Amino acid sequence: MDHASVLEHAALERTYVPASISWAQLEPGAFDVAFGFINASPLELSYRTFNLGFKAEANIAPHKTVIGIVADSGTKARWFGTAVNQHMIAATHRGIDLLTEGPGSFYQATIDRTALARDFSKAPDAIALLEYLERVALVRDPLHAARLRTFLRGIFSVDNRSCATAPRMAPARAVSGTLVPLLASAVERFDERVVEPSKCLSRRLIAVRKCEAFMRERVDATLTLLDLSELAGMRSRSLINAFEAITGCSPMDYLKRLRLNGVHRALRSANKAGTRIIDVATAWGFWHMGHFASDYRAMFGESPSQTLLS
Amino acid sequence: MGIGESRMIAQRVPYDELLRRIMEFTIRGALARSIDESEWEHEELRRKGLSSLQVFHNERAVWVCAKTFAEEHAEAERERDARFDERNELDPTLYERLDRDLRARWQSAGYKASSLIENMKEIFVELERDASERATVAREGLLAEVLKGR
Repeated sequence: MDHASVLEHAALERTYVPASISWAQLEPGAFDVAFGFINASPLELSYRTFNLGFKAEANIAPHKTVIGIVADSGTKARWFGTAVNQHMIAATHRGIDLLTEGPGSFYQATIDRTALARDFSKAPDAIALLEYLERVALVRDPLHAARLRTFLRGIFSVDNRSCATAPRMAPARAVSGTLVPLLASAVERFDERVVEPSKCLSRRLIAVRKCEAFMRERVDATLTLLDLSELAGMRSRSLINAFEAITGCSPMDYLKRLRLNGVHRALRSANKAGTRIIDVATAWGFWHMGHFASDYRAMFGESPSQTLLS
Repeated sequence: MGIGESRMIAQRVPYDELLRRIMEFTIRGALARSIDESEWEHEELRRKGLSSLQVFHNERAVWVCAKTFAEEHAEAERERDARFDERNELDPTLYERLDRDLRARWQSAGYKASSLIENMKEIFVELERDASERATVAREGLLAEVLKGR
């Protein structure tokens, strides 16, 4: 898992520059991810498949934009809290806030807008694309999503569920020369296909995002549900429901998983000789070693001591 | 104390008193939930039942999973960490005992519940319904009393 985590992190760093990526495993089991990556300026293309749900957040360099395409019908993902599927194209030039439920796979095209403007300045499609990418978008367009997916699948020469093999490298110029107009054509019909989140969803989403940030900042403090309710401006039961709908787990479970991830990171980077698991666990708020050991194993598929020794 | 959300519901009490405290915490949780004032320890109990309880016996953490206990015990022995035995003990039937005895008490109080080990949603629903009905009766009583006085 260490290897996979490092690889995933490296892949994400390459894709979301600067590397402010933070991600957390949100589902029990040994996390495994495989990916392919092609740099074809102005495009960086990636394909990743994973066996568990996870949450990723990252800032994107100001001159880049990310387009996400769900690769198969089995993938369940949320993009800024909005559910996306294989019929949609999601784009942003601000930041990634992606949460997946269970196993799945998706493609990602990162566009360097500076390079796009430089190399495709005379192409109307590319200019339209550039203008469009100034806005965050979720395009509900099955036809174009399918075309993009087919194209990307062809580039990576892999089937839906496996990208362990090295991608077949297409000539960079050919990739960008074909894919950019294809992306642009998807964008042409964008304006009438924007999916605006409902106000209710926005309110619930904002509340959950606030709480998530609050918990991440205070992961080493004792929190109460009342704290979160006041922060979110919602009744506690509504907040719990919103939390479950958007993140797939209760606030308490979310916090516990953040802390388990914290223990996991601490054990991986610890000096093996001088580290006692009980000390690390206690520092992260786990007082009952029986519960901690069971939760840890369920989450990461190995015991804390195996993590420490790995 | 450091971080960690948990509520001490009983300390240094015999088994019978522990049962009473668990029932009390359950009732208080349901009452709090009925007016949307529950804390997440209440929610944990409702959603995960007895398995959410962290039980210590003679200051030792009680483990219920024999497999996990054996593995961690072996690891502690390998590390020559004597504190493991001082701080932990195995009792695989703890939740079953608590479940059996608590259900008997709930039954004698007029509440029928299936297993409480995985969750307590059923008993929470019953308690919340009772609380709601009594609140309604109390409100109507107040109304009648005030009007009668006029």
